Amino acid sequence: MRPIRGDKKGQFIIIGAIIIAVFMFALTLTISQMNVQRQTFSFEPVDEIVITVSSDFERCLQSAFSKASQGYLQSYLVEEQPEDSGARELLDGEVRRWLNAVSSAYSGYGINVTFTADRESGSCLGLSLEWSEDRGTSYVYTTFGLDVTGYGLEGLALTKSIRVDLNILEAKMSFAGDRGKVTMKFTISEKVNEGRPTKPSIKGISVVAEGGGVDESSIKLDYLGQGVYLVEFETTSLAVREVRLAVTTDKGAVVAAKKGLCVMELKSDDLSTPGEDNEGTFTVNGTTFSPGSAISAFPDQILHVTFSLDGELPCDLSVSGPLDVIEQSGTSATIRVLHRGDGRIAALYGVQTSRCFVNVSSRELNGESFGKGVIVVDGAEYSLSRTENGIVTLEVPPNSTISVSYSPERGYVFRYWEASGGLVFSGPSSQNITVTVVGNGSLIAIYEPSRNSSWQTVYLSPLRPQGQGQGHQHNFTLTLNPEEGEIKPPISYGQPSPCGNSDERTPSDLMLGDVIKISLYARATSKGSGGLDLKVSFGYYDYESTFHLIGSDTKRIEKSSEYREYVFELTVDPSMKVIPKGSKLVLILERADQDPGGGTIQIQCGSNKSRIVLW
Amino acid sequence: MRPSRKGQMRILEAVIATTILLVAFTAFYFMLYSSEKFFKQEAVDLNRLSYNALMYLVESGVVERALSSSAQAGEAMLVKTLQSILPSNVFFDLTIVNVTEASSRNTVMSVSNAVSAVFERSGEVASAKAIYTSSRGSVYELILKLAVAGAA
Repeated sequence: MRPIRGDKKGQFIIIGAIIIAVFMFALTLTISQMNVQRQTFSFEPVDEIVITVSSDFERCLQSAFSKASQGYLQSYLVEEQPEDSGARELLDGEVRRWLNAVSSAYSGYGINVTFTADRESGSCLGLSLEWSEDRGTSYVYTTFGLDVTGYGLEGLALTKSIRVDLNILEAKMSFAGDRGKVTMKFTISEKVNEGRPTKPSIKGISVVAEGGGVDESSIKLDYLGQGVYLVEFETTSLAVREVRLAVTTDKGAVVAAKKGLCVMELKSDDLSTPGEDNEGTFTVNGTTFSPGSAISAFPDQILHVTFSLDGELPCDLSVSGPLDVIEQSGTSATIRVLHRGDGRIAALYGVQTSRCFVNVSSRELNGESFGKGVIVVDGAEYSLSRTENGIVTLEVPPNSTISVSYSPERGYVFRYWEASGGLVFSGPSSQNITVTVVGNGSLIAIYEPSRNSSWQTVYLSPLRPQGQGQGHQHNFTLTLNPEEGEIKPPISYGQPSPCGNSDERTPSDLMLGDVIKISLYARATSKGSGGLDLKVSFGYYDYESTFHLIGSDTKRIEKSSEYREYVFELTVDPSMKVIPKGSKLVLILERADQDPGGGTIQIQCGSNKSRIVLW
Repeated sequence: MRPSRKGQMRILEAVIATTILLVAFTAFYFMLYSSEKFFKQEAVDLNRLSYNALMYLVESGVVERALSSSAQAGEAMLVKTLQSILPSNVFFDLTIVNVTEASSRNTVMSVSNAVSAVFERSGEVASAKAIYTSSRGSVYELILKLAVAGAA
């Protein structure tokens, strides 16, 4: 029997299998060891440090924001125009303390924390407490930079912000004896970083009434649903000029807003006797008042007023100030409050004389000047500056009707009419009114300066301002889309013209100068030719989004490697002297030369660069 | 039957080679799987566990409530929470230090479920640190040490 020698090839197979098995065993052992090395000794908690520090910065920011807004609240409740410098100091102090603690706690990790809120001002933390309107905002923001050099992490930047908004939707004043009862509906929302706005829980409410105290025990808060809250409280006076509402969220942040009222004097006057008599009684929305008293109401509130007097035949009701008579019948009237201010409701009665004297004049809203502008009465024009004491005295028969209009001087805009005595008219905010003269009286046109200095120079900017206008009040920016850094609108035929409009709407009527100067720091790049003709048009969208062109000018932008200043001068048509309140400024750039070649105009933006000077 | 011997040998060699490879694959699989499982539970993730535990304490508001309570109640709250979130075979030691003022470090709370010698003797100790700002604005440093019971 031959020994089993088999085939040598079979032995090689076994040897090959053994070699493969040994190799796999060695590989497995190596992988296992690498696993151990990596996980046991090379654990680098960089993710954990980033999460821990950045999330704690949010808590720090929230705490600092709460302290800053609470600090500001103390002065807001007692001062008309509080300074927010104290709030900023509180904010900076809290964050600085946190920064020291973090540096100390992570000293061995090479941690470096930086804050950048505003590239223009160079400030580290942005803080805005805008509580001066019926929409209040508390806002803090920064870009949080974190380096952990010990683990090679550099350049991490996170935007951190907290914004709380308060919006007073509706306010009403009713009367209960000698007390006023205020009801306000409002919404509050909170937005953290880029998250969606949420409704925060309310921890506390503070209310201040200027012109009368607030009964703290009467403050009641209810949630009506749909994000709307209702707060009710009583004032110790009926003549309240302003109500300030401050809300503290469950996290301690405070936001406030305020609403102004119209304070109305109730008067009665026997026209047959000199001076005011203040006889009879007024009934306003069901509550009885004696003449001589003052009441207040919020804008848009409707008042049902009735005057009654025993033994006399009342003649009429005369209304002046920011009040509009919706309906009137004898001594009963339905009146709408237009805006905050001082008003007067007078009941006029008694025997008439054969002639009535009406004094017509004008006065600046804050009383700084008077007797400016032109009054037109039944077609006759009177320049008040040329009359004695700025007053025109008219002599008219009783119960006659005269039409009066007022044109303010350049640089001023008409606001409303004020009347006293035996004058009856409606629509006090209209420049043209029809007045029924039932007795002697005076009529005053109220005007105010039309120029808001912060809007005199409007800078072009390719970037939207960060923080929704925080810190930009002094430099309003007109945003041109869509390029960043520089605007490079390709200007050629057949393409839509580059157009930019202001982010914000004009806060008041803006009286323009004779010429609008538009300075563009620009350069042209074009093929072959020496430059491009650029037509610049300027106008505005009014509150109904209707476009109005003010003027345009064309200049040649030279081909150059450097930016040069080109000043476009737009002559303002006299009919376009005023940009109405609530408008958006619009700038349109068009190519005006006939060169069919392509080209680009680059416009440089930034501080003291391309801008529009309105007057 | 002599010609068939050659075929039998081939079969025998193939069976032996297959057995060797099977044993090798089994060992390969077992070693990789068992090492990963071992380190996940006892060594590597102890560090992550400590960070996760700290983040839970912070984000759930337990630390805020503990700091606003009395020291005794606050410490009891922390112990209860840590015991509920950590495996029962893990020892912990949590220290909260007030570092609001840069010049002083004031330990306000310290809780543990083991004597300090346990952490000195244990072969597997993980430590995590976090910074915490309370709603009142005070800044605290939270230091959590974990050790696995029985690991030498």
